[in-house]
Amino acid sequence: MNLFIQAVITGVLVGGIYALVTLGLTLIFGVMDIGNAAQAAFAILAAYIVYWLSSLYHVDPFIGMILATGLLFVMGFYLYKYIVYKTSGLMAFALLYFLSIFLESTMVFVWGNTYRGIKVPYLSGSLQIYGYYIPLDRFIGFLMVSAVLAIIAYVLKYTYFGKAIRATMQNPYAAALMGINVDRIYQVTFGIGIALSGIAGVILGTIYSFYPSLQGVWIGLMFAIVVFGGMGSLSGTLIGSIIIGIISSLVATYVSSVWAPLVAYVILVLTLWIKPSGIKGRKI
Amino acid sequence: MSFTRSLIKKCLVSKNKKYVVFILTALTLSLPLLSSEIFYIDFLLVLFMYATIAVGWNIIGGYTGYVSFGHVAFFGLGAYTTAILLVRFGLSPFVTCILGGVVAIVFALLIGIPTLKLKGAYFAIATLGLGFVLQLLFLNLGSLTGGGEGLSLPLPPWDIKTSVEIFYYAMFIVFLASVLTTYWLEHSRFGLALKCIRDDELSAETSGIPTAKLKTMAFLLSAFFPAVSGGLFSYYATYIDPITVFDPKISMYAIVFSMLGGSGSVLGPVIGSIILYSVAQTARYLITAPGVDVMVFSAIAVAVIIYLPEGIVGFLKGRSGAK
Repeated sequence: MNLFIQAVITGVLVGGIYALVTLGLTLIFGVMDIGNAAQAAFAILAAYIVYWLSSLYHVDPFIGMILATGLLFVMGFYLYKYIVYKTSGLMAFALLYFLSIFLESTMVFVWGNTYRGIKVPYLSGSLQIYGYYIPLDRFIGFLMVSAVLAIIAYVLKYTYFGKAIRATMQNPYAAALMGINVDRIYQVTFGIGIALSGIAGVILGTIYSFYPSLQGVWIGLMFAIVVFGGMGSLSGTLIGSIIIGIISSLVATYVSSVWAPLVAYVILVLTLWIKPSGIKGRKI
Repeated sequence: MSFTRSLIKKCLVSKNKKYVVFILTALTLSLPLLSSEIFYIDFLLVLFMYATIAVGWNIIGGYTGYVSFGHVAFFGLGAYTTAILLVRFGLSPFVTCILGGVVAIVFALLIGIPTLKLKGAYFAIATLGLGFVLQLLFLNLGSLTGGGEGLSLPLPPWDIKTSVEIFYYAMFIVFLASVLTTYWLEHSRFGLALKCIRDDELSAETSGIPTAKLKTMAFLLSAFFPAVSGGLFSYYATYIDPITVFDPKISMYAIVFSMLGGSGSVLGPVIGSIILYSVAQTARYLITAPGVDVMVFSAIAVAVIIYLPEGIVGFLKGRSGAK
């Protein structure tokens, strides 16, 4: 029982970080109906930028995270503005898939395909609450994820810009008729989506070790969460990532950690088989 | 320049195509007699292997419009089926490579039934992780698959020259079978129905085409040929492990080769394979840094999607006005 609760705690903490990395994917999918297959590659890229800044120039990882996030936002913005807008649907998915492979191979070329990890000396150790261990790095990561999610929720719900995004999500033509610059909304949303994956990538990089080819593992996991939670549903993504986080953690505890990615894939196929719209998705 | 271009057009588009294909086939068949260099035979053998995977991919990705990102899964399954049957039971690979195709078909059915009744995006997502999941499975099922150490197959009982020639003809037969299958597809009701699904699935459905059933059949057909070529490859390479036979690069090659040549046409994947595989082999001798070849390929793929979505065949057809 002790082990079980410990596994659930770890699962919730990790699931929260999955939620952040997947939220960008859901946002891009919900607003412009594009499955961003390059999301995980950008997450790893952000982790590498921060690793590089902190090990070469001794920049604090969390300051590096802000820099990397800004850089990724700019990259996403211009990527959509000059390249992705030319395609749509499945072709956009294919384009971004090849872009992810391009990023992966570039990272292999620049940094090599070896394991790296961002070291945060003041975050080693763990808290102990009622006899259960909560690793400090995961806990801080979870808090940061919660803060970012709260900001995103506030922006989407209460600001003019957020309302414009939601309006575009519901009906781009009607939104354009109401005077919303839909192209600009698409560009900014793409930038935000990529930037969110950057934050999550850095947080994951402080917890786990990473290498360029890991993006293939992460993107599978992220799409499993998106489909399981319901495509385009932000709340579905949150619930889905916590559930998949807990299940993966339980499998890692009781069976073996190598099977955790397989679990996500089985959940993906079962969801498509039984209820393709996911937990909270729109009807297909 | 304009002469070459008109010649290429004549070869590809007009009625002369039949003769060109016949001459090329005769040339490839007699190559082992003309050249004693194993290098060239090996080069063409591996080219046929990639072309077979690309042609197989083209059935679902080009004709049906459902883009599969995990075709390496079938290649690897075929390779492992043949290897396991040879190592554990001593069955001849030239027979069991067909069995590998059957295993791939069963696996494709398992993935296809839940995903192919949905829109193309779900199919793409489900196939994205396919190769990786199988790699994981084969890495960790040590007692059956040899795990990360891989499987060593017994050497073929002939001398090197003869065995390369035998594999060359075997691979050529598989390649020819796959091309003939797409040729049949191009001229049959089944193929026409698939093209309808690609162009407008809703209209196809309302015209009485059983879309889900035909899509699944196309997926099974497209899984078969890569698996058979994988089976031959495992015996030819005499050693396989999950990292090489489930390499995501192979899925990428299948897509890029088909798209550059022109997906949804008989000769497109073949032309794309010939051009890009030659480029890849040349690049391998010129550049030795890790990751550069994949970098070049993915850049080519991005450029093709943006600037040449119809591929070379589609481009030439569009320019000459012939259909």
